[in-house]
Amino acid sequence: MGKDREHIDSLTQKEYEYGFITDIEMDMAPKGLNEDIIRFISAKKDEPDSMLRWRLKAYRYWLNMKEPTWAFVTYPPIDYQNIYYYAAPKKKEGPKSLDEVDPEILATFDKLGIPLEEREALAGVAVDAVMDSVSVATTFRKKLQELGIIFLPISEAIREHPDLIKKYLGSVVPPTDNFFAALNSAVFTDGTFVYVPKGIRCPMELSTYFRINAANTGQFERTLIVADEGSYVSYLEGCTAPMRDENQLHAAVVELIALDGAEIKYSTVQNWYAGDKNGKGGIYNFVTKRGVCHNHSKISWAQVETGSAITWKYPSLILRGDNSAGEFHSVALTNNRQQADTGTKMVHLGKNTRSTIISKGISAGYSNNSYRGLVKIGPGADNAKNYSQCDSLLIGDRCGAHTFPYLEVDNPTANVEHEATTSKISEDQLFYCNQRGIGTEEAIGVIINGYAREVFKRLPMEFAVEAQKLLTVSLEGSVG
Amino acid sequence: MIKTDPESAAFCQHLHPLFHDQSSHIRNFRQQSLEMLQSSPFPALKHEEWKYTDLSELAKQLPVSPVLSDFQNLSVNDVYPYSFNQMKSHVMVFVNGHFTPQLSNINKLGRNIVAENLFSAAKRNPEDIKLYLGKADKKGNDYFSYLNGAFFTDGAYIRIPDNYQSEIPIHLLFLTKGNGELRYSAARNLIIMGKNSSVTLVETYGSLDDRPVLTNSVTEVFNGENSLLRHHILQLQNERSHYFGSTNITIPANSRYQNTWVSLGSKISRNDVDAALTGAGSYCQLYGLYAGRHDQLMDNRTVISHRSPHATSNQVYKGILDGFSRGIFNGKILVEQKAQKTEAHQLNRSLILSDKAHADSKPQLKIFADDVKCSHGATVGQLDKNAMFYLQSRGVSKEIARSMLTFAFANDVVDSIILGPVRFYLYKKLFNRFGRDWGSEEDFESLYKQEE
Repeated sequence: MGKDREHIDSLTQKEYEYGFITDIEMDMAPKGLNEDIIRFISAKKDEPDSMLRWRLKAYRYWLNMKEPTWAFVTYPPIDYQNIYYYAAPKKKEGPKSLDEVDPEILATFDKLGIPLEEREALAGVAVDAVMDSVSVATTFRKKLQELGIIFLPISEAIREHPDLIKKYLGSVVPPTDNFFAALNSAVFTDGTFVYVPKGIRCPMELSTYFRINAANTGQFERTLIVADEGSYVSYLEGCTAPMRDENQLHAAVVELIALDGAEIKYSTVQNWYAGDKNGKGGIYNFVTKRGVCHNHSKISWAQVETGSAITWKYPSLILRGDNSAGEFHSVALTNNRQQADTGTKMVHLGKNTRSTIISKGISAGYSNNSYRGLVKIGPGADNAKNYSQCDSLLIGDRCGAHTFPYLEVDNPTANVEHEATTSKISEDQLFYCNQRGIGTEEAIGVIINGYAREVFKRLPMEFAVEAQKLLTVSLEGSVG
Repeated sequence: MIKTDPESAAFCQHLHPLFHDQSSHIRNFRQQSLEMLQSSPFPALKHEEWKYTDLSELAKQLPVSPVLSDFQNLSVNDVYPYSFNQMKSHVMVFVNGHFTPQLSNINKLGRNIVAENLFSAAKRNPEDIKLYLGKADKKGNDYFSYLNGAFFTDGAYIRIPDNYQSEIPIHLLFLTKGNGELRYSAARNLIIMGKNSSVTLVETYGSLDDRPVLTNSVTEVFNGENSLLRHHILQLQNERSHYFGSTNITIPANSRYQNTWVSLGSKISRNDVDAALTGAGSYCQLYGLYAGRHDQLMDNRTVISHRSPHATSNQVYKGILDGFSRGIFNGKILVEQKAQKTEAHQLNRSLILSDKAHADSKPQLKIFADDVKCSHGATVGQLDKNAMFYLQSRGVSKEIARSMLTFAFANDVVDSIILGPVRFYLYKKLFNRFGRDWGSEEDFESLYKQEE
């Protein structure tokens, strides 16, 4: 047991690998939130008037909203007036190629092990890299343009494709949806817009790396993906952030729209700074992610969540169209003082809609990891089917694992199944490995990766490798 | 100064404790409950624990405490339907929450057993009341528990001595009798088990007429070490009444508690079970069946708290929903950090028979210990297609196959009742509801006799 203790200690005392601050001059708005700041952001982005009105409406609504308290997380009250709402790396004539990009930023990506140029050459991935709030490099745009695929920072899309933005922005997550969505709608500074035209299969995985950089800057990303009829797109989102002492707020909104016969695959690896072992610092991650499926369409969410001090995130799907399908695959790992309240919502409205939820939680240290999910079958959703499985693994006796599923069924032909288990790593499995000469650390890595395999299978190749590494590194040597 | 909730205060304006010559402990307890009640808001949909149960219609009504005339002129014939074909048992009958000795039969109980109404017990045994009243475990005490605490009109007090074991069940029969107003019937029961004892307790909630009554009972159970309590609760009130019942149980070391809840009646019913496993080797089993039809709403909330290592709990709740009915299961398993080696399982299955019926399920796990085996499952759907096919392939018509399977689905829970006459009574009720296509009541009786 003494050795186990050491393992646990070595795990809990592990420092964040990717913590560093990039030293770039910032173009900043003063701290605080008021209508002037919103006007400033809107002006900075050269937005049309209608967009400014949209933002102000969201802001005015937000003023009367209360911060939600129902999630199983605790944190000191956030002072929304003590946050920078706009920070951009200083502009030098808008870079046209990688050569023009600030070498400091490129170095940052190097430290993260994701050099842009390498990715460009190796993986054929188009990277719309976001450093804080402004996109600094966009590649492969030309190739995508030939197919008619629009892959732009959202601020550019607002200027260049106002019709699409007007039609779809806020159509899935309205500005008044919830506290954090309203805040995001008022102050979002950048994000990604993807439009895949009818019948087009996007030939490469689209990917954006978010990085929170300026101290005390909240990151308010806005992602909008529209897959037109019969199209297909796979989108990757990955995150790392430098080490900080003060908590940083991140309130992103992601909207997905799959029109008739379209398919969207959205994968996330989230490894933001989680705070030190006493729970000091770390990112607050309050995200609203939602997709709408029209007839015969499909959206799948896959996520690996290992970072953030607090995660509050429920990637949801509204299966509006007949014969549409939704999937949610998640691995959430919490350690030290991390708190995660995450899960999904599947709202079945159309006939013959199907959804699958696979959620794997791993808690270690003093962390709390909750699954919270809703499966709702509307009265018109004949023959709807849902299967949910939510497993939790506990490592150490000071952590908590919780499951809060909600099943609401209003149709007699529906079939809804939910299963959940909670346990620790089986002594038998460990013994079996030890007996065959596999060390305890390695055995745990193997068992954890086996446990989360079902989810990793769903990730695109590049992510699967990264995710497995993340889990193994984070949980090395922790024996329950 | 306590902040008073106006809606809550209005709701209980016509309620009063029926008798005033009570012991000081009961008076103090009422006072405390009343203070808590006044600061508790009336349950509304926005409260997480009442998310699916709309009480806005009830909130507009004013329940009225029972009066003496409710209990007079009742004869044994009136309660015959609830005697389970005159099952051999010790019966205590309460009408509108008030003990009626002329209908009861508790003379033949063993010498050391105490079975009397709470008010007599409070006079004879004030120390026990002080020690136990309001002390059973309850996570998240709510409005209706306080309401009962403030305005209960008597109840059963049962104390089983050490080493007592009996085959003859104790039957607590709570009947309601309405009049023009919404009668308030509230019993407060205390069940205290000694060490190494074993007993079966039946609680039945029924109606003497078809007038609406608001039943609001609380039963506190203190199981003894190394004891076994089988606790069967049947809710069979008329479909215009409301039922809000709580059962709060403490389960110490090496003791077993088995609860079977069957709900067929009431317009709105709420069954609250709070069980705390406080000693090593303790075991808690909760089985439940709720079969709703018409516009019935059946809300079940259970909390099992594992407070001690090496305890086991097992929970199976089944719902069958027909017509416009709504069935809710809201179950929570809480495993505290010190409760290592816990094994806890929870299963909720609902069957929806009509396209206007609803089923909501909220099975929750809250776990703070690592060396545990916990699982929960929930399904909502139709009858098993394979089973239907199997029966049909053997020449059974679709309608009959459906009847058989629905009946069997319900009987899983009823089978956990160990008293033959009670089981038979429920089989018959369920057969009448779900076996219509299968055969007549006589067919069923002859079939059942063969089985026996």
